Amino acid sequence: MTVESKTSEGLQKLVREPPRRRLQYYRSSSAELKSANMYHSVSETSHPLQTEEQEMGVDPLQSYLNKSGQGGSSENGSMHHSPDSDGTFISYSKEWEELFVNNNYLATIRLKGINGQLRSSRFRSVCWKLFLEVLPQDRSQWIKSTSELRTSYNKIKEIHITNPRKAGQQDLIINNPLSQDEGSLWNKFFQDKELRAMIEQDVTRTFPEMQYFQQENVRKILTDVLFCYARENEQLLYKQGMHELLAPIVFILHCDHQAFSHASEAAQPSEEMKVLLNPEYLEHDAYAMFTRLMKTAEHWFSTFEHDSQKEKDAMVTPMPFARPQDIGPSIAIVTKVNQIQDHLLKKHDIELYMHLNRLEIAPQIYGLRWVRLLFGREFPLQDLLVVWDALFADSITLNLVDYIFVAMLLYIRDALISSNYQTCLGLLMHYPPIEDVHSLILRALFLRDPKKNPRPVTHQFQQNLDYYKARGADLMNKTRASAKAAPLNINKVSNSLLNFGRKLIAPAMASGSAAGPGGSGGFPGTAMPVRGMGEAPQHHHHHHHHHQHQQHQQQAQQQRLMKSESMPVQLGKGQNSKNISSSPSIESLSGGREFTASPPLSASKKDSFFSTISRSRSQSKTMSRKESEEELEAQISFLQGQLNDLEAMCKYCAKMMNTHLGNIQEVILQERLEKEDEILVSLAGLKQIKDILKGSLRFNQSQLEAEENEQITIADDHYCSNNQDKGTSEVQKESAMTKQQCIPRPQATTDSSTGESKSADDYILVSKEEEGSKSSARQPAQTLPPHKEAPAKQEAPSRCSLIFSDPLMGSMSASSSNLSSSPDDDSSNNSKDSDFTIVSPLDL
Amino acid sequence: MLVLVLGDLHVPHRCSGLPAKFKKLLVPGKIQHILCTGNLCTKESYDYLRTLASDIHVVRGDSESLNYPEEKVVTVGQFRIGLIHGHQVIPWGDVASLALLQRQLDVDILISGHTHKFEAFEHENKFYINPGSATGAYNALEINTTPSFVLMDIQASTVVIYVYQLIEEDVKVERIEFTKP
Repeated sequence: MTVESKTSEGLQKLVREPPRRRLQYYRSSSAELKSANMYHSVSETSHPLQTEEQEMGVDPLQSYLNKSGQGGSSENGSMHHSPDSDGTFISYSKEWEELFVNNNYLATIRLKGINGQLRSSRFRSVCWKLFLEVLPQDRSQWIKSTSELRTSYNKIKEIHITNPRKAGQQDLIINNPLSQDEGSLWNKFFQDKELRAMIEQDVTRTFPEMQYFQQENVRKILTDVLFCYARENEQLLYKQGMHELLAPIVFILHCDHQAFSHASEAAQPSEEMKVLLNPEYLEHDAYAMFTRLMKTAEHWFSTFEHDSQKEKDAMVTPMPFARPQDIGPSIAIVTKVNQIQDHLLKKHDIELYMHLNRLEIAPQIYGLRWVRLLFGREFPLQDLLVVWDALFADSITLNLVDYIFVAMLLYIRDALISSNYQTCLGLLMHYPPIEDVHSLILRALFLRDPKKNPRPVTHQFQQNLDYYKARGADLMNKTRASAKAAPLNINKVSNSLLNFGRKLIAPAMASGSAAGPGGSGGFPGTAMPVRGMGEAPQHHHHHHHHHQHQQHQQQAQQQRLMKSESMPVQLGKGQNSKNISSSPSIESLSGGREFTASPPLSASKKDSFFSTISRSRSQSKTMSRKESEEELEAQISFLQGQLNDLEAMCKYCAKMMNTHLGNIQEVILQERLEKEDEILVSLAGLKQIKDILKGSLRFNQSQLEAEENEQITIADDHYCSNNQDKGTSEVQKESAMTKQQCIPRPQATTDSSTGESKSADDYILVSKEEEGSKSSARQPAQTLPPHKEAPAKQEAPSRCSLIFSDPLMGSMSASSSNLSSSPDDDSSNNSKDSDFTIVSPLDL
Repeated sequence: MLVLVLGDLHVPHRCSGLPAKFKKLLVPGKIQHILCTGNLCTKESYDYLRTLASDIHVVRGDSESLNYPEEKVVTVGQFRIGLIHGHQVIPWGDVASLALLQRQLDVDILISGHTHKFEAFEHENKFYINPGSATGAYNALEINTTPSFVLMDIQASTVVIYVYQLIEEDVKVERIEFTKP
């Protein structure tokens, strides 16, 4: 009964929790990056992993535990220290009591583990020891069995870590450095050296982003434990990946030891705590836990069938948890992942199963790593520990692994189904960051036993929604696809999404829009009725939020990338996202530039631009098509990546446009200008472009040709009407000029934008400098048109000066004058322009 | 740290190559440095040594085809080790003459060859090693020589010397320890 109430409680929590959890994650991970010494300064007694969760974990179970803890405290009242001793220690020992002083303590900590409540526990290592049956259930045996295990490790270490120089009694013929005799210590020493080198190679790459694992002594501990394990299990030896199973164990032991030493400064801890949390025995305890874990996991590492068979026969100690399916044909791990995909996934999501089969994505490609490392590479450490809490707490057989596996697939199912082979691989190999890892566990539990566990529908939907967006897919399609999955909870989720989004946006807006004070509140779409925009304001919200999401996800993705750098994975999305900074910058920038220059026309142009990019690229590639298939493959994925990048850029542009247009609109509405209507119309045009960029408005290729012609004529018209004596040739010269001034210009324009008073003096000043260099005396009014280009230019970072020398430039600058819809009206024109300049520098 | 000391191979002039039993013992991956007292005679011998360890120091012997320095001082761990072929030290292998050279070079261990006769001894708190001929090549004065080489295991201020000699088709190993005073 507690299970029911607890999990539903957790469910509610999850619904409102995500934003906080995520922020929390960022905070904690950045804390990790600092050295482990940091823990001392973080807070006196708090556990390094301590999060806010403890405070919110007020649930019936907790209070129940409190009561029972006090009830049972009579048997070890010694645990209670003088009531006036440090409060932190009291809470520390209280936590101990809550967890372990209880008749049915094992069940309660298991429950806590599954519910993710050990996230902040300072006795996580003790819990894990219990889960892994390193500690017996009988508490009175704890100290005894712990010391037994420790002495046994000492013996193992003595046997296996040899020093040939110490044993001098052996015959020199046998025991000399060059001896190849089997019994020679020297020979063993050299064999060990090879193994050690192999282990060390991996150990040095363990969690490279964490300071803790860079310490020499920690590395030595990892190496020694792995080495001893390898020597104790000669059939298995050391296999790559084991270090990633050991590292989290060592880490939580270390964390608990830290917390313990802080707590024990305040008061005298109990004998049990002292023994169990003795930092001297970190290595010993880690070995004991690791070997227990490996008893289940070893089959996943063994490469040959007979290996595991022999292992079984050779094992003298009875293995009560041996599973029948472990004695299977061929390589155990491959069978396992295949079985997961072929049976479990098929059962729960036939569509996804078919999709993966169609793409011929074998589960070995991604699944080997998932299972072998127990998802160690798929989650950040904090989340990973929560997953492991649940895995271990559930059962030492790690039975839950299969279901978490499936739950992970389901989490990204929509994205997978809508993606091609390459993106799918990218998704699977670089698993997207998950907001609330606990929902995954809930889902896994549900998948395993739908009757006993509540259905965690909401989480699935929400996550999919998110990730889908990151993939740059259309919102409309999205809702259609995922509505299928969870039609009932849309309202709830979109609400929580909105909240989430707001929180995320608030700081971004504050920094992003200097000119727009009410920026976060007033979304442009809602504030103004726009023609030709078939979109409800609601959609604006959605889009906006999701872009924020996307950014976050990209960040997280980046982090993940760093982590997984050492894995030999070439394919996938990571590669593409890296490209973002390198190659496509010119194309994308020029595209963006054009876009800002002539709103209604070049929005379509932009799209064509993209298409031409891809077209020209593929053309150039056709030359090399004959060379080799592989190269072609690589190019395709490269292009795909570029397309993705461009798509992402479009989204970004659309988002930023949205924000800034909103600001402009607000200002304009306040100003009550005489030509307001025209401004609003052109604003509406801009919005349309934004929608095209975003993808919510369809872009028609045939329009392009027509508009391009039109564009030229319009441009000519404007220039003729504006500067009567100066033709387009003049304008071109002008543009060449402004290119040179591109660098000093931003200064001036940002000044004017911050001034916001649209003082024409500023403009004239700027343009006069320009004038002077050109040695042609013109009226301020005449200089305006060239100046108008400058702010437009600002939209694109000044790096992309290439485009300026382009013949395309003429039409471009011309169209920039087109942007001011009423060029003959100088006064209003001026103010309008200044509004546009406000927009531009912020985009940079 | 393991340092292989050998020399006077005289391949191919006086011997066809290292004894098979020695070759079997000398495998890559164990030895960090090689100190050679010279008379490798050919590039091929040198290349063979390179397969055993990447760090090789050779001095010039009296019948050398390649150009090596006359003498070398190498520091391994806490030990300064002097290396010379030995034909320059007259009388050949004379302790007093070697001690003179040792003082000149200011080394803790002086390694010399040329006599084709293994020797390792302590003299006035300094250590002298002659690894003999690794191939058992004859020398100017004697026809029957025992193939031998030396392996030094240097740990901090102690060096343990393993002497490998091929006596009647069997490899015999001796162990001598020397501690820096």
